Amino acid sequence: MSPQNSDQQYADSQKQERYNALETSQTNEQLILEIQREQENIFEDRNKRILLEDKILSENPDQRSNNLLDYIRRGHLKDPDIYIMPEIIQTFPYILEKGLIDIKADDYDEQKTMDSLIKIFKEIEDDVLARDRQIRNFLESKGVRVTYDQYLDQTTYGEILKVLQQYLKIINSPIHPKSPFHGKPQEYKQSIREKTASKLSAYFLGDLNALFDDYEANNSHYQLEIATPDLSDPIKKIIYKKNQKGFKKYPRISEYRGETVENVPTLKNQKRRPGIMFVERDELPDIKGGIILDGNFGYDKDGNLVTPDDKKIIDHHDKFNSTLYDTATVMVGRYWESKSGKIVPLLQRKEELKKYATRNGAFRLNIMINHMDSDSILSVWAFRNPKKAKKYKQIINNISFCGDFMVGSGVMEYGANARDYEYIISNYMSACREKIKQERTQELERELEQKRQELKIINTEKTALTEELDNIRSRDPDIIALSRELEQIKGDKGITPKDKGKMIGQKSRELENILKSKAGTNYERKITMDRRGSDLQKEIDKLNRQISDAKVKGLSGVENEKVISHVLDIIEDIITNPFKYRKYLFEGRDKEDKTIKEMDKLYRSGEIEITPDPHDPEILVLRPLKSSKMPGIASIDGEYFFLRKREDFNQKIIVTRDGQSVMMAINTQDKKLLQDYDFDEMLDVFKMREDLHINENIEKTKTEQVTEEDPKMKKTLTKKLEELEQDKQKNVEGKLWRNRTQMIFAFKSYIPEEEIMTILREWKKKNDQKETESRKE
Amino acid sequence: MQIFWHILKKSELEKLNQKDLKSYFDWLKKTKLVNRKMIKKLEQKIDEKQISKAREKDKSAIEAIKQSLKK
Repeated sequence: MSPQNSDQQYADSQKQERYNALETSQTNEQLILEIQREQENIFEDRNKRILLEDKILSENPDQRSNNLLDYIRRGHLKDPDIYIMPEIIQTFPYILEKGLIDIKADDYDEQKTMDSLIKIFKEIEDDVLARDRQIRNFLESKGVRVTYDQYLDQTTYGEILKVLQQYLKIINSPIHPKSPFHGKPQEYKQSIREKTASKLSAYFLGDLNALFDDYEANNSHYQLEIATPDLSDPIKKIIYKKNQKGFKKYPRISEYRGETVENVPTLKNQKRRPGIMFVERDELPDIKGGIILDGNFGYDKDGNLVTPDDKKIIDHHDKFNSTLYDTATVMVGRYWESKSGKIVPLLQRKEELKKYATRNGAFRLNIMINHMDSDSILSVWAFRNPKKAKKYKQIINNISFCGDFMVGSGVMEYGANARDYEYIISNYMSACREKIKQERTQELERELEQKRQELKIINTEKTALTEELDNIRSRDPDIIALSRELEQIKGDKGITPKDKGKMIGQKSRELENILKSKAGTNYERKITMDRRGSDLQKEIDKLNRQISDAKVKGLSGVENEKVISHVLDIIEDIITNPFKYRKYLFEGRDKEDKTIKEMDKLYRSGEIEITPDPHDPEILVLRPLKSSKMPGIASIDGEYFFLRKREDFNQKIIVTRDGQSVMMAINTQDKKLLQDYDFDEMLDVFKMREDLHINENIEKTKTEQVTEEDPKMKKTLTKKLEELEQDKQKNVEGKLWRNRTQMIFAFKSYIPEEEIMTILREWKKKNDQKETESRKE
Repeated sequence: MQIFWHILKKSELEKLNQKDLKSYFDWLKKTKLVNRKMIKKLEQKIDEKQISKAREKDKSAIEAIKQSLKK
């Protein structure tokens, strides 16, 4: 059935429904009953649907591939006993592609397949390690230190041997008469040894003379019998074939024995770096010059992007991304590099950067960021340290891509992949923020404790004083007599209330005066204590309020700058020593894992609904089903892993509806595929349609306001109108719809859902066509 | 203001006026239709898979007969 036909059928059925409802003139109670029946139907259907989905997924070869891929890439990380060599992980998609695993078999057993794969991978690893050990031990027995960062095998050993054979050949040939070493055989040999050592520098560290001596004397012993890899298994064969360059020795987290960071340090005395500023989002700071990284100054009142002449913007949000889907870190790296790829020294950039300097004459550049994530912090670090940034270019670029686009990477030089780093940086920064909040609270709590102690002492004294005064009250005959008189006045029904009040006041004063004279200084002391007690209680209440605020209130600019400075101090350490920060890495993996399980639970229980768009199944729609808001998700990576893991949910575009908010995101694990879609093209359409719908709402509300007679309702409508006017301006200033990295957000939208989806479908179709055409070219 | 529907509790339904109740009912019916369509598609998928499996089996049975005849 075509979508048009089904739409028509739906429209007809709706007409019929409305007609029926009118005909029967149902009461609200009847309607509610019918609605409740319909709700039950929906959940019954939904359960049926989920069972069918599960059945299809369990037999679907693509889903089986997905599960295997997910386990090989990520799932095994949960088991500390399992290590898969990064090259094998990288080769695995090819193994699947080649059909070496029979995922279509009727008797396919996922667990058995995973177990047998892990066994094969372990055998390869053992094999690689055994060869390396044999060669390494042999070479080290010759008195050299092997420092090669790859596992040694026949090829690498062959290369070493070739260099040694060449060395022997040269020193055994006669020295050319014209050579400056003619007649000096020892110097000649030493010179050849030096040259040979430099050729072997990738493999060894330190003096190689012992090796040369041994090789000269016993070169025939160097023909080692190295076991050849077992290629009988087709999977093993393909892994070796695809990794002919060998296997790199990556640091392994399970073998890490160095120091670990368990807590972030106190940031109370952390100095802020001059010239690094944390600024408000969408606001132009009142300072001269500066460079803003990974952010911009928003839009002005007419809807134009704010681009002041004295400020440089290096950003990939909104319309600042010169190349689609770059990160700020990549852009900063490119900024410092010349066409030939060399870092342009600051001196050569001085003329160009002068206009962004803080003061005329003094060359100081303020660097600004308006949020803290991996990309913003790495772009600041890269801007300040262009040479180091170039050295770690691949690592920092991959981290920023992972943070902003959720595109992962393979394991890199220091043993961690991009997501591991991203988790470390983001969780470490969040621990810093928590630490600051905790320290803020601790100080207030200390103050609170002091006040509480003070109040306790005062209350003890107050109790003693009260007892003493009560004693006087109960024993002093004058006071007893006066009290009786007072009671009599209170009980006398013959006095008018006005006179009674006066008389009570007078007697009470008399009573207090007597008490004052009898109790002496204790009376005054009690009054002072009462006052102090009440003041202290007020201070305690205030502190309690401040503590609750301090626990939840975001960081101030200064506090954020402290975090930035501290993290900048340790960025290089994180890059080169990621396992030192493993606590933060595990925290990320744990959150990710919990979110995957949570998403599955939310979907199955009907808290959220996930369905393909009926017109374009490549668009997946997520929405809350049992409440008006989406439940909080701890890890966005976890959310995407959940969607990517399910073959039916792993779609190109993900739309999340959350009340009046909308979020659309490109879902890909491939950087290049990010280029297929451009949200900037859609942004203007949404802004225009939003304006139209806000205007319609304004007109409608105005009409309602005119006819409304109830003052309460009138007031509500006035408020609604004010909100609409504010949102209209916010839309102009780009504060309702924003394009942020691979996502487009509506923080609030008045556009009907179906219209949003139509715009999205058309935009996607256009981008898909463009992509197909460019591929043809 | 556009209302974003979800599964409402009885107490929430009771707060709605008849117009909104009817729109909500419409939304529920639409949701039911979408669900049913999806179920139909999924059932179709399962049927197709079973048919193709049966065909596969037939093929291999025929192949086995052919092989035995050759012998």
